[in-house]
Amino acid sequence: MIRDITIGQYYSTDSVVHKMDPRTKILWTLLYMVMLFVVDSIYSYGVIIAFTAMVIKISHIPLKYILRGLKPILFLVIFTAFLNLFLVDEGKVIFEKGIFSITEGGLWLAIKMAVRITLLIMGTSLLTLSTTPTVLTSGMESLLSPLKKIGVPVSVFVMMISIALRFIPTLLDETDKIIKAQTSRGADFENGNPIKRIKAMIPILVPLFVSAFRRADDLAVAMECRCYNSDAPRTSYRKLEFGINDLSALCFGIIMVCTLVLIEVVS
Amino acid sequence: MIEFKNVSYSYNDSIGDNAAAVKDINLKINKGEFIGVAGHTGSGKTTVAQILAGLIKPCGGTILVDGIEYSDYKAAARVLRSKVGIVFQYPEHQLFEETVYRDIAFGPKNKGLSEEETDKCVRRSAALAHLKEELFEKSPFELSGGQKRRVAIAGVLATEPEVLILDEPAAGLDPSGRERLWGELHKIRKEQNTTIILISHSMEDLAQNAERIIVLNNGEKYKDDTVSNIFSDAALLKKCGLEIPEITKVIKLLNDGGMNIPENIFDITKLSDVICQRLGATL
Amino acid sequence: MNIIETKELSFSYKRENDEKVVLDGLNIDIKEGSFTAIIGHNGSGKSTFAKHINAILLPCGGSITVCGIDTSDEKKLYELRKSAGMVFQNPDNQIVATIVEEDVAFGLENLAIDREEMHRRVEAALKAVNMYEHRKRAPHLLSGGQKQRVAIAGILAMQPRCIVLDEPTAMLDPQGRREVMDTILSLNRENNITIVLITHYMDEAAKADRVIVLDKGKVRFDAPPREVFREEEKLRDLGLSVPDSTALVHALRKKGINIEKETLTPKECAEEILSVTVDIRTRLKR
Repeated sequence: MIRDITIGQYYSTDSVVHKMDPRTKILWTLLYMVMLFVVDSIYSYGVIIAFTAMVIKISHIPLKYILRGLKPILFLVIFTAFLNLFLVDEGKVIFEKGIFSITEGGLWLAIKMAVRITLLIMGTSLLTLSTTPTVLTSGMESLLSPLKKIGVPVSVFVMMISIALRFIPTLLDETDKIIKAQTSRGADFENGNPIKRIKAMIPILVPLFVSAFRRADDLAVAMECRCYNSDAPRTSYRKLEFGINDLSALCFGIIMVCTLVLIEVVS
Repeated sequence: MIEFKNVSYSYNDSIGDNAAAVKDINLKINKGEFIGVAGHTGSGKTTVAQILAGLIKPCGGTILVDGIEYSDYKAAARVLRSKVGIVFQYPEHQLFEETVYRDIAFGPKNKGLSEEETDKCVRRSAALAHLKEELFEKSPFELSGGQKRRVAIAGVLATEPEVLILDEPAAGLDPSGRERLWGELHKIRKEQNTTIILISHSMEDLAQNAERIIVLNNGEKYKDDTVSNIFSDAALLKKCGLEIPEITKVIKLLNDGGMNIPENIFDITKLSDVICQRLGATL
Repeated sequence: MNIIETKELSFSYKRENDEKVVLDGLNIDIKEGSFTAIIGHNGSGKSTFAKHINAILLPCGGSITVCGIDTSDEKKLYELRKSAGMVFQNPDNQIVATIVEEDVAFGLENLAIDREEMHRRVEAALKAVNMYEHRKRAPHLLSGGQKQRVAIAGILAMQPRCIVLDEPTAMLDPQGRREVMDTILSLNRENNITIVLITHYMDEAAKADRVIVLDKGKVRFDAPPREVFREEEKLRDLGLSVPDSTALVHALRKKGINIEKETLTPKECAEEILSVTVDIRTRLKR
């Protein structure tokens, strides 16, 4: 389960998508999310699915990798789909047994919600899989930089995020090891009532927190040794370059929005 | 006591997966043995150890415990976990209880032992790990590095394993700390007839302590032999990316220079005796 | 010229009502361009001393001057840390960024170096530690030895005069240890960077020009490795040991075989023993 989290995991290839300016990708992802939740027509979904498939194709990221990000939320997708399926009462009844009935409207809504959530996760996974966390955070920093003027500590905030992302794999390894060590001493994490199970987490959580604090302490000292000072001006190693690809991507975005609006209006 | 037949393990290219793949491992672990496991990083040492301890499920092969073959992995894991204790690298990072006593008692309590039995277990394992009883009511987080490690080892001993696996137990200890640890392991083995499996990068440590060595290379068992046979085979060690003990290097150089000294000596006093004999012979 | 100078350097931790003295009046001078190893059992004060070199800890008594800067001078803190870099034991806990080259650049970003210069220095530093080909990789996918070399490159990019390494090989496998030791030696010899290496591996200490043995916060020995390792008995009393090649010669000497030289490596050791045999043979012939 722990291993299935794809958020914050970069998949390295040499594709156009990877080379794009992170700001373009962040803006596109936001646009994509809005589109997903605004459109209603089946044709619009067709366009979005085709678009997602195209981006996956040109990103050269294996589909398997992207789908793995869906596993943890599979339950959510199925759950919302079922809720819609049985609770929405709209249009022609297509199936009925006792108190359960499925209507055309319910079926459509169930499919729509499942597709929305799936596409949403796939789209955001694409962003994190094609962009290294550092680039992503420097993109965020650049987009948020107007906030610096009103005194928001954007750089500190961004540094915190990038360190958190950096330590995700390290702490996952650590969790795995602690779970195994306590299992070997007879700890049982799978059986018993919920209260027992929560109690069973203590032997994992305490060492994990202790370790996280120790690492934080070490890291803070190491950063200080490398002259880190959150108040002093810093330069950036990476230069964000807004190139021709980015321009065409944004143009494409505008065209796509227009197409979707057209489809929605017509249907 | 424990036997592996064609045991394999592989993990799909997962994130955070630190267990290396192993294939077709055949091995036998007998009661009371002191076994060393050698191999470069990524050779599968830790994977084999975790399969032995019933912590990861092999994807192929059979595991026999006391001659019984388990078709159901869950049952096999239960038996393995009850018989095998594992001390991970930096075991002090797994301490969690408020007092040393309670941390050591975690294992026996999980086994469902009564207060009295637990108490006996805790005291016995603390003594084996050279922990003084006056530390019992202290918080494990207040102790020194070496003491913490001994508490962690005592915590595993308290589950009274028949097989004790230690993964790089000496990492970060100074020379005297290492010597003391080896002494403790031999004592545990002698007093409880516990099988000890020592995983280490340090060929010196393996040569000095183990009787039998299993060499893993790229996920396969490359060799399983006595200490002297393994270390006298420099070609084998080189092929598996292992270091030759410093003392063996000296012997090899002496033999190149015309002396004839057996290569299976790992003790300095013993080697100096042999060299004296050879010199005496030339006289 | 001395790059590090301490005068009666003392440090103690105060806990509730007891006080634990960790450093007890150290007088250590380290020459620019030298390679000094500091050994001692756990708790001897060696790490605490290292932390004084770039002002992670400040002395409770006495003083320490590094590159001509008194470490308690807050105004010159960054100048000090730029000239005396530090590499720690756990490679995972000192890598900040998620890409190797960006981590190496971290210190330079902090010093507000401009981008072109930064790229030049990062490239040079990665090449010096032999990690240039891995510059685009994620640190958590590297081996321990590689991670530690990235950490060294991160310090090297700041162009320090002195690098302090606090047990940099303690968590590594033999191959990683060799990689890191080779890197340290080449930085010392080729880039003339002063190295202070804290270690509890005697074979590593044997590679230094000078070995300082600390015990209970005091200097017990301070001499070239050959002279320090001559005192095998005393070192063992301090919870330390000597390389096997040295111990073997000592054992032979005890048995009456006359080997003058202290040997540090298997090669030296075998040569000395063989030359004794040759001596005996020639004497017999005569």
